[in-house]
Amino acid sequence: MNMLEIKGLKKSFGWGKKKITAVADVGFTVNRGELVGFVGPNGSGKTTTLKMVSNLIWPDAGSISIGGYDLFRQRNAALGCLAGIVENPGLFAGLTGMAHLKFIQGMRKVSKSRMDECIEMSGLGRHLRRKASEYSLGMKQRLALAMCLMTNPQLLILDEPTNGLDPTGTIALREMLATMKNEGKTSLLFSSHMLGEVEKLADRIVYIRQGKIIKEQGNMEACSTYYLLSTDDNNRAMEVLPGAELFSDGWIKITLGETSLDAIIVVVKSRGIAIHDIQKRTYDLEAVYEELYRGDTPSGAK
Amino acid sequence: MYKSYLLFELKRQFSSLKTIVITAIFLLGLAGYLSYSVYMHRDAHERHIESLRAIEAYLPNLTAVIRAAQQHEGLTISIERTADETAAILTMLSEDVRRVSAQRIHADTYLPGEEVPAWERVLNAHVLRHERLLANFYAWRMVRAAYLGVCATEIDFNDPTMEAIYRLRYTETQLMTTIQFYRYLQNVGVPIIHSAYEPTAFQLAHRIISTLGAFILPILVVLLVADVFSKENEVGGYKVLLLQPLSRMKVYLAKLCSSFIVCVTAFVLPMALISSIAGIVFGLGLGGYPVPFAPAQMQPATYYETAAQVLARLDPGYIVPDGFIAVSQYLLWGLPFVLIFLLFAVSLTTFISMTARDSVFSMAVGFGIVLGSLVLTAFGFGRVLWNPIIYADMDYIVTSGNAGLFWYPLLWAAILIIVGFLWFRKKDVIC
Repeated sequence: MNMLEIKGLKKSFGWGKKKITAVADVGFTVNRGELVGFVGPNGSGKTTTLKMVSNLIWPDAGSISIGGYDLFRQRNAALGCLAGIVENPGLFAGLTGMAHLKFIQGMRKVSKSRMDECIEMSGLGRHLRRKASEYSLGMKQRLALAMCLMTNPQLLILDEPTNGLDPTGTIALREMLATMKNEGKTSLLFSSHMLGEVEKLADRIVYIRQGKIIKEQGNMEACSTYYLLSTDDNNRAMEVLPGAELFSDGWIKITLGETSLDAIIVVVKSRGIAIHDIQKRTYDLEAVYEELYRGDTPSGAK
Repeated sequence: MYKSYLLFELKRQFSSLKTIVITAIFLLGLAGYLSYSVYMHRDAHERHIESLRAIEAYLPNLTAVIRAAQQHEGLTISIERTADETAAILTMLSEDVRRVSAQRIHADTYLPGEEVPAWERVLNAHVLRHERLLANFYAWRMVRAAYLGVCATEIDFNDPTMEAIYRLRYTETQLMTTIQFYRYLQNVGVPIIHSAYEPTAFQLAHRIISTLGAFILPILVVLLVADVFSKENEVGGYKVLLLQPLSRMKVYLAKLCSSFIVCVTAFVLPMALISSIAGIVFGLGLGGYPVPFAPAQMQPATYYETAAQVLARLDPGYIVPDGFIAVSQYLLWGLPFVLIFLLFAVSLTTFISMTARDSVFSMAVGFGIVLGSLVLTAFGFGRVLWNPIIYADMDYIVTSGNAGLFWYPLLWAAILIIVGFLWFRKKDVIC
């Protein structure tokens, strides 16, 4: 079952000549227990999409369902499945950290033991008596995370969750998300510019560019090995090698699958095609990212 | 969940340092107003005693002045007759107030076909209801109005000499009737005060609501409520709040309700406290007619701006309800209208706050509207708009011409709440 299902989402800001399309056409799903990374450069529409999923802003078109509930028709039921931090940790002015946790406890009927567990997990301890507005960014992030986790959400949305966290906090967060992943109770949609984080945590990665989903792939698929071949006739070589594709600058990209490299070399040579060079590449997320967004500049959308 | 959020919002607003400080400042302001009232009241009393002594000293000369006026060419009325008539009426009034006032009303001669003024018909109705004390007051007013009317109709104002004599005579008759009126008040047991600043509990509460509160209320509301939504935008509270499974309508209503409760408390508590202190120190004061009388104004002191206007503009269709005569009862009626006005002010301010991106802008717009409305009121135009002063004014509650106006704030509040909710429901929260 899809925990999150987004279809044909569109959102523009401004009017007339000043109109900016932030999200042109976004549609993807997050399955139950799945951790999905949401990747794209600045201004590509990640945060706007996450804000629409959180119902902070309204789409111009499209539909969102969370836990099987239509967000716009069954808002309360849909948001009952959701917790999240969008863009930066939102907190109430003038309230202590503890008051924030008690707010969530009251609103979501959270047990005292669960609250204590999340206080422990946040590591904020005595700081909870201080006003949250006096916290550092990292502390705010920890508090917001504790507030999210208190609710045992079915879908957790995190927008740049490691933003402002120190290395200890980052590691703790990663471990916590890994535990969530193992438990398989919570689905996670998170965006991050830290591709290493995404690579380590995500089951699947959704790539967005200029408000459109350009690619979806499994993390294992992304992190595979491939070869680059340079031949004297790349077009003919691509004809004889199924699955081969033109990479760039005279290189052909080959993913091996069940075939061995030797077998490929034999096939190419048997057709009279000379091989100039062969390079082994590890196909990590950074490489995919570079490939997808090469030459992109931030669009400036909200 | 709504209840939980409402309690959270109430606790948050009540425990806010800003709310505590503003309420404390308001309380201090009212304490200052009480002190000012005490000072003004005592000052007016002393000044009045001096003027009474001056009147006493002037009395021996009065007859001589009247005679001089009689000898003037063209004077067609006997001043003694007019004065004697008044004196006789007042003597009768002091003998049997209700009977005489009823007689006076019925015996008043109008030419055939001449319409009896509406206010006299209403007075007549009151007298016939055997409202003895009320009749005392109204009957005196009527006598005085009739007396001055007689004087005025016989003066030729085109003649400067006549006008000068009229002025003189008017002053003299005023002196005479004032002295006679004191005797009358003494006979019927009405305490006399000489200022509009009586610091007793009822009178102080009345003034706070109808005069002082009219200016303070909107300012208080803007200070307390202008950031109720905008602060969520500034700090990012929306990101916590709107992610909860609580409809936006309920969020809006909870904020509106808590703001209203906070504003009512911040206004009513200090007012009740200061009025109670005034009550303990200076007494409750008279809760009903006849109210203490201020001779300098020739009006009841505490009702100068309300009852006097009511009296002058009464319409049979909107007569003062039975028993609607006491300050205590006025407060019972006045408070709901103050609350209606508060609801309007809170609805407006929360609406502004919801649409504003930050609290400074929200507060600036709020104060702009409050000051703008007060300026418009000064020019009279504000009466067709919303006006904090009018809605606590008994005159506007009971007179036909403007009776509908006092529903305006409720209507505006309803419109603002509906539009505010629809706006908030579809608002994109970018914080």
